[in-house]
Parts: sequence; structure tokens; C-alpha cells
Amino acid sequence: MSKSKKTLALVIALLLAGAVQSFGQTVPPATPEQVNKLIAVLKSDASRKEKTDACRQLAVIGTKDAVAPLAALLGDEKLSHMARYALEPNPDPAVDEALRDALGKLKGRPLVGVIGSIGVRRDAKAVGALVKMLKAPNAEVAQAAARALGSIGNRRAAVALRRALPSAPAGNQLAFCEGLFRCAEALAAKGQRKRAVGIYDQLRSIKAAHQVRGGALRGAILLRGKNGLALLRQHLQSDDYILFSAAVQTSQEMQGGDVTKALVSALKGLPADNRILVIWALGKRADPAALPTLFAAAKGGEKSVRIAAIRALPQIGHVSAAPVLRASLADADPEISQAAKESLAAFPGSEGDSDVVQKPQ
Amino acid sequence: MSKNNWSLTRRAFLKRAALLAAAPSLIPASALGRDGKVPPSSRIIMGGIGIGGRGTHDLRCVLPEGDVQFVAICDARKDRRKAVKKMVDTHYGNEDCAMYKEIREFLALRTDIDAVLITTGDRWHALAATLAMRSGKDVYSEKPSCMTIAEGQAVVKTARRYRRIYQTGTQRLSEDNFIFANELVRTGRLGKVDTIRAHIAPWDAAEMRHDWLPAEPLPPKEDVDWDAWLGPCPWRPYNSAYIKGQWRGFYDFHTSCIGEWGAHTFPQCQAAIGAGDTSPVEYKYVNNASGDGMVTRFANGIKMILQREGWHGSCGVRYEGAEGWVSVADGYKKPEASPPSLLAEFDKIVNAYKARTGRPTSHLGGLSAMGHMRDLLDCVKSRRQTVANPVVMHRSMSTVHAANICMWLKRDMRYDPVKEEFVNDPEANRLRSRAMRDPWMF
Repeated sequence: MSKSKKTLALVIALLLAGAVQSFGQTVPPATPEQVNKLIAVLKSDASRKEKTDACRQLAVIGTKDAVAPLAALLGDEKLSHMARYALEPNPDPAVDEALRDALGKLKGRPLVGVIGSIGVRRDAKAVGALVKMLKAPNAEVAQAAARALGSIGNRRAAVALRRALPSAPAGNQLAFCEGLFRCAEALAAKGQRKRAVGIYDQLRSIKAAHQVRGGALRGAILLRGKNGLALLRQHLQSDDYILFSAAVQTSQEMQGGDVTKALVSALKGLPADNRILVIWALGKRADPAALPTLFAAAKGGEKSVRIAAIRALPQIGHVSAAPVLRASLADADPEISQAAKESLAAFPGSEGDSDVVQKPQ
Repeated sequence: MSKNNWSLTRRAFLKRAALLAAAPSLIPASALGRDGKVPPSSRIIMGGIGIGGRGTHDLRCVLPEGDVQFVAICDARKDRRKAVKKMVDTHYGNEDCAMYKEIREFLALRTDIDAVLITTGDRWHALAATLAMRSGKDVYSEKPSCMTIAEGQAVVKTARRYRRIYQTGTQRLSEDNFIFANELVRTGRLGKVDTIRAHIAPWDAAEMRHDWLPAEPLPPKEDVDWDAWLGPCPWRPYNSAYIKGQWRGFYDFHTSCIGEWGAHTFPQCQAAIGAGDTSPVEYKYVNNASGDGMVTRFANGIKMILQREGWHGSCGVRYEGAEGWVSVADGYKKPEASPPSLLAEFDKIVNAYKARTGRPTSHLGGLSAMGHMRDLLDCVKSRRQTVANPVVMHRSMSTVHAANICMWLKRDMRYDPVKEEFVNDPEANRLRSRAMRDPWMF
């Protein structure tokens, strides 16, 4: 058997290794012999394919012993990714040291890859080095550093990103915002809501892309808890459609009658498109408290808004909606009467069934 | 097909779309400068990423919609860019569909595009969706929509972060026959359900290929950008078979026979039993090549069994309760049920679903993804969650990945759906993610 075939056979044997376990049993770690054989492949003059396969296996069973041989490949453009492939899921802290060490030695795509892996592993000790890279002339490096800092998401990373955002080149802005979103989520998860709210407030105050402004408003409302209701009300009246629609969308993640009230109150004076959006949100909430408002909207006013209200009523599914829908059946406008007919036909229970012209055979 | 005229038929919702489309004629042909605004009366500007065979089906569901304008295609392959442009331009009677080779350039330049159709093949779905959502686009992504549990998590987080609307292409969640079956469970008509059965693809295997096909000369980058085609996957030498569809079966590109159909049937089953936001807690290894017969169990005790056979047509599900059962797949004009009297309520049950959810559906026949696509478009405007939203995708794909990992490591697994980790199995936990190839990373 050739050396190449022997290596392949070894890799396949390791791939298929493993006994059937019973539920709840801890799976024993791979033996040092298994790991050493794979390390030997990495150190040999084996082919790229063979080393790639060894990396795949080390991703699953690699130990501390595998870290140095893999780290030695991080600068190899052909094998750098596969070295990270094996290192990234390895829980040994030596991996973090190796990746940090590589930061100062690599350039180009391998450097971008290592920064990404540091982010995946959330290595807080790398924050200092990553902060320096926010000003890297290579945009991909600076962007990767911003995202990795966000994944680490501690206070120091957040402060550095907040300071760096205003002066970041236009091409890097979205990556820096992404980093800050990640920081806000990580800080909120650790109970540091005030800091997280500060990030969202910064992101919604800058001249940023619509998805950043809308996303930041969502975070700012939700993280404020009950105090977010005022911010919700304010933006349900916004002239900026992005912020308005972000507020309506965010309301769908909020519980309680106060939110329904805020939506109902917002309806007055809004343009037709905005009213339709609010009516759809009210239908989705299925809160009967919205029924009087929806009845009024269904009975008169602009056609597109009436149709939206007629279609929202069966989602609430309250019996009191049936007479309103029945009245609309006779509307002179065929589109209104058709909408009422479909809503009645789809209406749960006998109230709707009695109005159906034809039932299925 | 049910010929009743009292349900919201496909024709009815197309008419509805046409009504919505009446206003956009007032909008200038050039929609540049919209900055993400898609009010209800507006037209949705769409683009495509990596549209091939299945993507063409999806595109045929998009083009007839009166409130959509499809304006651009991005693909690493020249032949596909040109084929999609031809299809789109022929539909609109112009030559306006723009072509792009590089996804990041496409997303950065086309700030006018509101939503993208992503049908690249499994390896790119999650990353393309994530990049698109970061760029402010809403997303329809074909399935299987992520290669790992970590990729699914990234899609969920990104959609929430940027309040994006996302639909995974599990179109049976919007088809009447399958909705009927799920509603029988949800409304208790089958009694207490203890066993559900999910179809997995009766070809291929759960075990994946790690070999490389023989190297062929690399085509000009203009024709096929091999680096971009591979994207986040480990490098391997070019072979034209991969780009002609023979990427299936390879570990780097595919999620096995379990993912091929499980991506459809698992979310279907999980939605039926109200487990759309979780995953099974146990996976019992079966000593065969495909995972056929694997028993998984949810925390509430319900068993979901993976099966390769037992239905006519593809992507079947079967729900068994104390008072009856229902079975359905693509080959059924109507579901099979016991007692058969359950079928008498077919229209009533489907209509009640529509009333409760306000969602459009598709009837049997025609383009199967029509209702599912319409649900995305409606949600782009209403900003409500789609029926196959990121959580539905991620949790059902977590089931796919866990079942695959069970087969690959050849042992029983326990999974904690709250922590999203395997219990006492460090090796399995390492398979929850794969390091992505630079620069194609989250």
C-alpha cells in the first residue's frame, strides 16, 4: 500500500471510529495515539488533500498537542483555512494564545481568517490587538476586527468601537455598526442594559443606513422595557417611514394592552400607507380592544385602508365583527364587497358560514 | 384541486396582488434612493443571488406578482447570469436586468433593492442571507438554509438585529394539503399525538463524501469564479461536475439525505406539534447508511421518526394520535386520514387557518411556491414574521444537523435545545460549527 493510501485509510478509519453509546453517557475523548497520527500527517510531506483530511479530524478530536502543529500552518495560504478549521472548535486555551500570536505575523486573507476565528472564540485577551486593527489600511482587516470585537462584546470592545465609529471610513461603517450591534446584544445578555441602550441610542442618532437606524430603534425600545413605550409612541408618529415601520415591527415583539392602545392612538392623522401597516399589526395582535377602531376603519374612508381593516377582522376572530363584514358585503365597490365576502367566508364559526354563498360540494 | 369558491383561492390572492400593484404605476421606473422604504402601496424591488434550477422555479413565482420588479442577478457563473437575465428581460419586455459577479459588490451597489431571492446551493445560503440582511435586504432563501447549527444561529441573530424579513423555502408550510394536516393536530382533532413521521430523501446517504473529484483546468474567472463558488467551504480543485449539480453528497456542500427533505418535513412536523422554536432532545442512532428509522424525541415526549418510504411522492409527513391519523405528501390530491370523515372539514379547516393567520396559501397544481412567495412579499410590506421565519428555519435545521451528527458519530445523542448543545458529548459539540474560509465569513 502506498504512503498516500495508508494515510487515507487512517483518516477513514478515524472518521468511522466510535462506539454506540447509551443516552447520557459521557463520550470518552480520542486517544493520544489517534491525535498523534494525525499530527504526524501535518508534519510530513503528505499532500494537500491528506493534510486537509487530517485537519478535518483534528477539528473533532484535536487536543492541546495539535495546537502548535496547526498554528504552524496559519501562514500557509493553502492550508491556513484548514488549520483554523481544526483550531476554531478546539476548546483548549492554547488555541487562543496561538491565534493571538498569529495576529502580529500574518497579512491578507490568512490574517482576516484568524481575526474571524478569534471573534468566534470570543477571546477577550485579544481586544487590545484588535482595537489597533480598527485603523488598519486594509479595509477587510479593519472590518473583520470590528466584527470580532463585537463578538467578544465586553465593555472595552464596546468603548473602542463607539469611539472609532465616527471617524471610520464610509466603506467600513456597516462593519463597525455590526460590531456595535453585537456588543449591545452581548452586554444586554450580561445584564448591562444601560450600556447596551447607549449603543443603540448612538446608532440611531447617526446618519446611517436604514437597516442600522431601524434596527437600533428596535433595540432601544425593547431594552428600555416599560420605558420603551414612550419611544414607541413617538416613532409611531414619525415622518421617517423607516423609523415608523421599525416602530410598528417592534410593537409585534411587545406584549400588553398598552401597546395595542399606542397603535390605536397612532392611527389618527397617519397617511393611508402608514395606517394600513398599523391595521395589519393590530390584526396580528388579535387583541379585541382594537375592534372598535378596526370597525370604524372598515366602514368608511380610503378604500385601501378599508380593505386592510376588513381583512384584519377575521384574524381577531371575534363574533362582533361578523355584522360589520356582513354590512360591507353590500358595498357598491366590488373590491370592498369581495374583501368582505372572503373575510366572512374565512371567518371562524357559524357566524361566517351563514353568509357563504356556495359551500364546497 | 378543490374547486370551491368560498376560500381565498390562488386566483383571489393574485387579484389581491394586482390591486396592490395598481399604485406602483405612479412610482418612477427608477426606484433608486428608496432607502429601504416599502410601504403597502409600493412595488418591491427584488434581485437574485445564485439562481439555477430550483431558483428558476422560485423566480417564476416572483415575476407574475404585480407588485414586484425584479432588477438584477448576481452569480459566480456567467451562463447562469445570462440565463436569468434573459428570463427576466423576456418577461418584462426590456433589457434592464443587471448582472453582477461578486456578492459583496452587488449588495453594496444596489441599495435600491428591497429583497433578494437566494438559491445558491446549501453551502452559500446562510452566508448570503446574512450578508444581504446586513445590507438591508429582506430574504427568500432556498432550503436547506444553513450548513451548521452556528450558521442557523447567525441567520436568526442577523434578522433580529436589522429587523429583516426572511422566509426559508419550505413551501409546504403554505400549501393547503399540508396546512390541513397540521391543523388537525393543532386543533386536537387527532386526539393526543404521540408519534409523527418525517420523510427523508430515499436517495443518497447520511454519510458524506470527503473525496475530491479529479482536478480540471480552471475556467476563466469571468465564466466561473471558483473561489467565489466555493465561498466559505474548504478549498478543493475545480471540477465541472460540482457546478453541474454534483455537489450533493459532499460534506462540504450538502446536508445529506436527511437535510435534503428533512429541511421540508422537519419544520412541517415541528409546526404541527407546536415545536417550531425548539428541537428534539434525543436522537437514536440506527445502523444503516441513511438514518432511516431513526427515532428522535421532543421534550414533551412526542417521537418523530425519520422514514425513507411510506408515502406517494416527496416530502411526506404522518401524524398519529389517539383518535386518528393523517398522512400527506406531494403525490396526494387530498391527505389520507382516519377517520375519513375528517376530510369533510378540509375547506373549513384551511379557511380557519387563513383567518387566524391572515396568510395566503397554494392549492395543489401550478407553482408550488406561489403562496409561500406571496407570504414573503406580504410580510415585506407588513413587517410581520413569515410562516417560515428564521427561528423556524434554524430550529428545524438544528434537527437536521443533530440527526446527521448522530449518524456521523454513530452513537445516540442528547441535545439541550435551550443551551443549543449536545449533552456530555464534546465531539458532537465541535460539529455544531465549521470555520469559514476567509474572506467568506460572518
